[in-house]
Amino acid sequence: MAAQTKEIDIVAAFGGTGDYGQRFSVYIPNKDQAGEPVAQKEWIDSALRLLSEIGGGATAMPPVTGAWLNPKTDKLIIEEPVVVYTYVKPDVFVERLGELAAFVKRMGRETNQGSIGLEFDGEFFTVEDFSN
Amino acid sequence: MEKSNAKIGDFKLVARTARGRLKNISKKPTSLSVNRVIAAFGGKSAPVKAGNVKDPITLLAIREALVDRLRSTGGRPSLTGDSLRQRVQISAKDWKKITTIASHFEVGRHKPSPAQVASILIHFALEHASPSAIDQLMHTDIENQDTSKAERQRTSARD
Repeated sequence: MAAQTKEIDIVAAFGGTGDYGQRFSVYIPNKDQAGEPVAQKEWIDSALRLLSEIGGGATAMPPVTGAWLNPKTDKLIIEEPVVVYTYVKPDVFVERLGELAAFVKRMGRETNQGSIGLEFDGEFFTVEDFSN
Repeated sequence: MEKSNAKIGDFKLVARTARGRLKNISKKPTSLSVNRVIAAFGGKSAPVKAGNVKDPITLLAIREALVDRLRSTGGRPSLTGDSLRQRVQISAKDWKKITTIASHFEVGRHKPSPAQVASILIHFALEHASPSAIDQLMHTDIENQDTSKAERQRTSARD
């Protein structure tokens, strides 16, 4: 028998709102490019605040073990970044994209990073130039 | 040698799922262009998508694609989509690999055929070759051919 495909409006079924678009994530580092600790908590709090303003709420995942190979020193930095993400409201996201980019660059500069990891809609990318 | 093949045959990725039977028709906001967002950050795109499942040429990725695309209309399940049946010559060595890969899957109660697995593998390979990249490669190739042709002409003129 052919399996029938059924159509459902899942958002309407829950009386929910479907304003949310693609997922945007920022990797918050806990070490700098030399392997020295950085004040991760304050950046997590700032990211949660900013992403909540953009998506109505945000989530910080538990720290995960990650590694970054410093191309200048060839030193492998083992770190525990925290991924903070939100499902963006597209209009607000576009409106505040400049502010978000400035936040990421400031975090890169002030925590002495070689690169900051980001994801948008499942696409991973890095920012390495932290100049304004 | 036979022993190691038997070892490879010890595991099977079995998928029993009703995925795809329900289609969510909730309205979603318009998607934003990923490339525009990356450009806004002055970011560098990574060559692969985040998450292993989408990483091409893993058994898990092939299984995901088979689960998504294999549908039964009563008989042996076939691949959905606007597929055309084509005759493609494949080397015996490649076919053996494809057959081995296919032997590791079950989707529902069905075993996908090696041809269905081959179709998924071709799709994965082409997914990472954008039309602009192909176009660029073709131009580079044509330019290289022109350069070597001119070089040959110069050499024969000297001789």
